[in-house]
Amino acid sequence: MSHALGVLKMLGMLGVLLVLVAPGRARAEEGQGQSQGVRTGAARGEDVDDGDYRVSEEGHRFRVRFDPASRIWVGVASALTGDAREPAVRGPELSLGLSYRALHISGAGPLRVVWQADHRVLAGWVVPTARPMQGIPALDATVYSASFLRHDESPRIVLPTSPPVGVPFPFDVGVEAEVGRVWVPPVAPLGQAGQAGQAGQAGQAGQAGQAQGGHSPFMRIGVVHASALLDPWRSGKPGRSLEVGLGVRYDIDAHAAPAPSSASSATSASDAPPPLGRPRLVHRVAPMTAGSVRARVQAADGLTAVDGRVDVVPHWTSEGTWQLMVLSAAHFERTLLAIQDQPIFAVLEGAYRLTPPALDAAEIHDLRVSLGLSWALQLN
Amino acid sequence: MLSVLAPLCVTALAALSTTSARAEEVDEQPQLQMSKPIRCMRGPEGRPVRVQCEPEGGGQRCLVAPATNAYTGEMLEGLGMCTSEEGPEAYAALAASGARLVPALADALPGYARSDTGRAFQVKFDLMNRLYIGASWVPTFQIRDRGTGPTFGPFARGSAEAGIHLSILSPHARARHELRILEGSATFDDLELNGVVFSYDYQHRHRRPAFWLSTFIGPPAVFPVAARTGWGFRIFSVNDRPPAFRNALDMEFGELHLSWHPWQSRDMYSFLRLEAGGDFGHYWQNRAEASEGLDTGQWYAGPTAAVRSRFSLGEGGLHMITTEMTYRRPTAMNGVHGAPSGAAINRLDALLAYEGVLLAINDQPLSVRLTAGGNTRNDLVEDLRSVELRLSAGLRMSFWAPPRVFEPMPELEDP
Repeated sequence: MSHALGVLKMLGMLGVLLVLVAPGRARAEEGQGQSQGVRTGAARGEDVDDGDYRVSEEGHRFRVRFDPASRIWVGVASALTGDAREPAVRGPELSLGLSYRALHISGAGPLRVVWQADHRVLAGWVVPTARPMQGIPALDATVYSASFLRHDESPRIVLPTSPPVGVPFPFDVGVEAEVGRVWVPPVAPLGQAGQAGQAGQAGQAGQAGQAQGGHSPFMRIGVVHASALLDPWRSGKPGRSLEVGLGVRYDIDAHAAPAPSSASSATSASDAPPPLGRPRLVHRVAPMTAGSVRARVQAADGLTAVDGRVDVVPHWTSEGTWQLMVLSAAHFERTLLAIQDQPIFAVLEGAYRLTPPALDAAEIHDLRVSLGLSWALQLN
Repeated sequence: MLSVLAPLCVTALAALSTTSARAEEVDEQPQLQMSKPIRCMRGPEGRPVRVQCEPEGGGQRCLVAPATNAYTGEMLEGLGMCTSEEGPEAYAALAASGARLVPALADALPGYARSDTGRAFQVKFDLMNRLYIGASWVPTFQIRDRGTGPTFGPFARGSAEAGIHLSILSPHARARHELRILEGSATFDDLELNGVVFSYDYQHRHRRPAFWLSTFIGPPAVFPVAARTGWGFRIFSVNDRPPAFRNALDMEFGELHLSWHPWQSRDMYSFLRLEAGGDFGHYWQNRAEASEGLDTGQWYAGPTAAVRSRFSLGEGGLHMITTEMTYRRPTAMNGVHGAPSGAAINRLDALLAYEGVLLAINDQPLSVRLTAGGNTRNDLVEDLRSVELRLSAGLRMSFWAPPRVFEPMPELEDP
């Protein structure tokens, strides 16, 4: 019930946000028309200074276009998190990170080539109040990730025949990579015995280790992820792409080591989150089997941006089996205000992850929805 | 107590009526203005006089004021600079020129007037720049929700108070700094002590925007934001033996707040201020334990909020009304005597005060101060709620209060 209420509240807040934004967009278009009219007449004292700035009636020059991929940001949000089979938990979420987009344009007309390079450093979120394991809050943060997309106005593949033959190739191409991602889910996965008990099967915990019917501390370290990308959309505009990728992926899942039953019961009695201890590791390797689809859209003025992706990762595990992992995430942001030309934007995010069972931990259906505000220091 | 205050009031009212009569007399006689040229010369009896002439019809009208005290013969104090120093023949030449010579009072510094003897006396007072001492009668009514029940009294409760106020206007910054130093009061004979060692408040009327706010809901627009904000802090406040908790001692070590001024007068002397902040301190339910150090009693911290205002009536600074409503919610940081850590209580104080200058002795004003106030709070340990209402009527003697100055401020503050 609380899960449903939480989702309803989130949807309500999203509705308010859309109501704020939707008429705003319409008026913005009117405003653009007016300002274009002013550009020739300058009757209202309001003029378009250049693409990124405008001059107010008081003569103050202020920014009206932003690059949502080049900034240092700090945000607060209300997040609804949890396993899909359990009541969700709501808590405050802090987000921060640094991103930078570099565009390299060469040539002109049919020979125009655009490289879009997106870098992200130390980006992620943390829920300080959710502590699924001792000493570590729930978090998802990446040390570094990058995406490089190449747009060619006349893409073609040259076949090395004599003479060479150019075959049209209707895709932009690119690569992406991610190094050092740490994920601690807000709710630790249930032990398989616990899952059985929850299903009404009165499971015998037996020697199931620390996950005797309870939650087992767990964290994932994404060592590396790299994919080759194809973009059939070929928009050639910053922040607009549809990327289909295939690549490699290496993750390490760290599960808490089994604890003595007496210690386990003591921990349970105190309601304190258990420590990770000396973890048992499960290695997950996807040898060019990590598939992904990512769609990115951003308004020309950068005030609105949407980014969504789904990763389907069949992989081999160190338990000697093949498993399927699913990762999905969506991000929507809308700039509402700016103070001294530094934007404040509303952010709505949602994510779902399916982590297959390993050791004595049941599979994880991790859901997260968050809505909040962020402040950014623009780098571009 | 009444027997003491009644003669004082009668004397004060009599003095006030005398002052008013004198003021009317003074108003009838013209006075030289310091802002206009003044010629200094010798009068017909050889005494120094000050002359200020203005065209009148086809000739001149000259105000002539003695530059010496009528009683002592000494040169007057607080005179402006002479535009010219002229010899004894100048007065004769002026009289011979046909100018109409009108007896007048000598010029005086801003905030001062002159009596008919020539003595300058202060008629405007800045009561926010002074050292004061005072005494008042403080009948008090208090009630606790458990214990002895409502009590009225002590009826014959007196209070002595002292403090230092400083209020510094910075025209170039379009800002005002206010300090209160070593301000406190003690009631007798139940000896409730209230005091603050130091408090500071800053306010401004900046015209340059503090920042620019752009909005992107609708057509992009930008707005200057020049909020009349401020800040302040308090260091070491004490409330010992309040009437409802005769054995309690509260020491607030520090308080810090941000403020916003919905309304300010041009020189920020009068204002309406909203404050929000936090404080921390130590509370002893049994004040005798305080001598054993800070290991006894309870540490507390919590949010504070306040609404304050000050209104100066008229330009002379002779009447002032202040209001204060403060809210504190201290939360115990440690448990003691069965009271748990984390318990929070509410404290609400309100005060309405009027202060008016009655008379001045050697330019040191004596003012009457009337207050009505109250507070409600519960203590950290027993959670007993008390309500206290108190009235006060008393006198304050202020020292070194300068005249209120209305210095014009520049259009824009210094960057």
